[in-house]
Amino acid sequence: MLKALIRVRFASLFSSMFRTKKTEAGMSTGKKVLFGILWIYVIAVLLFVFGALFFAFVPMLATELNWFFFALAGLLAFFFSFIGSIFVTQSQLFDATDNELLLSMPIPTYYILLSRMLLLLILNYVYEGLIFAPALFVYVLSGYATALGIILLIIAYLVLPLLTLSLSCLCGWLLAVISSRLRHKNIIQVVLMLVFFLGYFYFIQNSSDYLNSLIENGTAIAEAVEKAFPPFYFLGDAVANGNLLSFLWYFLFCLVPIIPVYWLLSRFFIRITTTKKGQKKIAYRRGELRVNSPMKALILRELRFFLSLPMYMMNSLVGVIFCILIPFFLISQQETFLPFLSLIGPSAADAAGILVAVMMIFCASTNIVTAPSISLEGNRLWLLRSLPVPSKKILLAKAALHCLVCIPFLLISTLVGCIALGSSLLSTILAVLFACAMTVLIALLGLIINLHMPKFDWLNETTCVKQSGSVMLTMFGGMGILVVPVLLYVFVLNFLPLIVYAYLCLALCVAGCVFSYFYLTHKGVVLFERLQG
Amino acid sequence: MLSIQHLTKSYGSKKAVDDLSLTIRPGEIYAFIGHNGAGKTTTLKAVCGLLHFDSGEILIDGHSIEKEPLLCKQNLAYIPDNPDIYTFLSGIKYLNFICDVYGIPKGMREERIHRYSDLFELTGDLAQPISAYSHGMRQKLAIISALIHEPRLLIMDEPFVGLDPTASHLLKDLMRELCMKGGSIFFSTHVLEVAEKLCDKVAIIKQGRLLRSGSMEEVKGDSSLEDVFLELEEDHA
Repeated sequence: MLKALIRVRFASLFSSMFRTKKTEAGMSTGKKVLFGILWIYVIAVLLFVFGALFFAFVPMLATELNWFFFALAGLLAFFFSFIGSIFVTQSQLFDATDNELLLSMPIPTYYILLSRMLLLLILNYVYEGLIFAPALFVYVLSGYATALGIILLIIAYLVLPLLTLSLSCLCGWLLAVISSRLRHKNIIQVVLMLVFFLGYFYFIQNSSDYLNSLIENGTAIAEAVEKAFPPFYFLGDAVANGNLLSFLWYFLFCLVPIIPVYWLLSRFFIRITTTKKGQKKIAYRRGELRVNSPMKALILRELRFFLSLPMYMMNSLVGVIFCILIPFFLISQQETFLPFLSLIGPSAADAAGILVAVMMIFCASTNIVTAPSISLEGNRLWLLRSLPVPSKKILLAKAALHCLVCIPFLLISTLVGCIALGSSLLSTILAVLFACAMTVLIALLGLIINLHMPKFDWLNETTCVKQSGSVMLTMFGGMGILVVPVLLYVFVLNFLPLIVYAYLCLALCVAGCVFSYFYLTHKGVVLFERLQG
Repeated sequence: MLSIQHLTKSYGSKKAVDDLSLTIRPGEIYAFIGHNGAGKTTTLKAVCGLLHFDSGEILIDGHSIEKEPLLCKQNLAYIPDNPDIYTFLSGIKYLNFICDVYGIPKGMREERIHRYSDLFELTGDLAQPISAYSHGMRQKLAIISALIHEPRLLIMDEPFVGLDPTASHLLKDLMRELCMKGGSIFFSTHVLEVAEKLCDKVAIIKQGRLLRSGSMEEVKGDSSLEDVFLELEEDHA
């Protein structure tokens, strides 16, 4: 029975990654290869970033604080995995749509829970592997590695996900309980995610300061870690000094919490998943109804749907968050940027606007509102298709929402950024036009890609927003649009004046918008009308 | 009002609908019955323009659903077998959205929304998000949204599933009312007693092929519709 449950969970995971349409048996080989390349790229970037971090700490291995190298690996792996899996834990354990079906069958609750937790455990292994693999690699290359140290580090990696799983399950439970009792849970979820996100980027921005103070005040910080996070101190001590007693403590810290957590959750699983979410009834009062044109009604519908899914909002508006932060960053770093720009000479004012334009293009390329929007229609696609509205209008309403939620922020940030860096009028106009054109291009491209790669067999919107091929392809495609012209200028076309080259790129971007618009309103409409939700 | 001529639709090598022809005149209630997987939903979806078909022709009030889909959709309403509607909207916002799309004037939409929601006893819940609705309430809302623009052709897939007896009775009354005004209804059902009492005409389909169609009297004669249906099923097993 447990085997069957696990098989179903894995089939669901596999299907969410490799199936695009209900009618298709699976993804074509070409798409699989493309997907594979994208995953390899993401994994390679993460391994490189963490590898570079551990290389910076190699000198520590020669000191008394050698344990801190491994404690840091453990801590990073723990937090990276915890943040990555907390919201997935809530949706996989408590909000899964098949909970009631499974609970109605003669299956012990602890089997259902175990099958779901195993999937989360695998997710944690993946997250933590991205930290432990470069840590192990750097450790082996450092010349300080011992056979016992390597073996203990590998075992440490194998047991740490159990600790993460315990904590994320508990927090996922708390989140489920809290959100079921709150009226404005969407707003609260967005605020929570935003706090996480801003905290993360604040940490990244100041990471070099932290690194320096870590090296300067290593002893004090190491002592703090020893007191605050004992399992990671034990991990460090065990691997660095071959202390098996410390390893036993670490092992127990990882293994013991999962037992009461599993017992607690399996005991309360039915109550948590089937509790009727108590919401106050909103009394209806007859009033005047607002009349809108069909197009406005469609855009409002898109907006309401967008605002109803915090996960969708946060994942697709990363660029907006970046672009809000950029003006603050530019103003605070004026002293760094202005002397650097003045080195360029008379065209410094042009370069300032181009620099802002590049930043805004990056932001625009990471906003992917339209990329999952067709897939998210899911079972409700019939409703849109049955309305007496041209398919072109339905698609353009989706693109319009993307532009409406992105362009105002990008425009304000562009203008503030250009003023802060003393950009010329010509390059300010360029930056403004680029921010708008790139947003339109990504909106149209996202829709086109989603029409080619729809995914309607999702059980949870999160899967659609986070794991669909169209989202990844749009995001990396957008980044490619930024990177290719920059590399082309640096290595080939640097004989052209920068501002001329930038305007040429803008013209290409506008041409891309025009082409995408025609593609969407012709071929895209045909694809949309053939979709079966 | 609705003319289906030689409709054929295949999924891969399987023919879901095979050379189906039907005609529904204004004022008729037409039942569409058949076993699970017989091709009823495929036919209904093709009529509404939700599904492309391989061959044949579907005309609604003389207009082809393939060539003039918007004109046809303006005159018809569809209620699917499962009321998957926008759970992120409240009932009233959903109905107002439908009115916006069909271009119903302000006074008229307010009058119709309140008339139908009062009839289905849903008025008190209109401000609630649809996600808080039960299956039956969603079905009622789907029915209201289908009736709100006064369609000339109403297509329904298992419309009575999930409705309480009062709402079922009310729906039957509203169906008769629509037909009295010259509208037509084409709906699938497994409740043969309802089809027998309510409908003017009936079509029986099996494995995509039409087994029998015509007025209720022609099809069932002196037997019950259930007996005829079971007999036909056995004959074509």
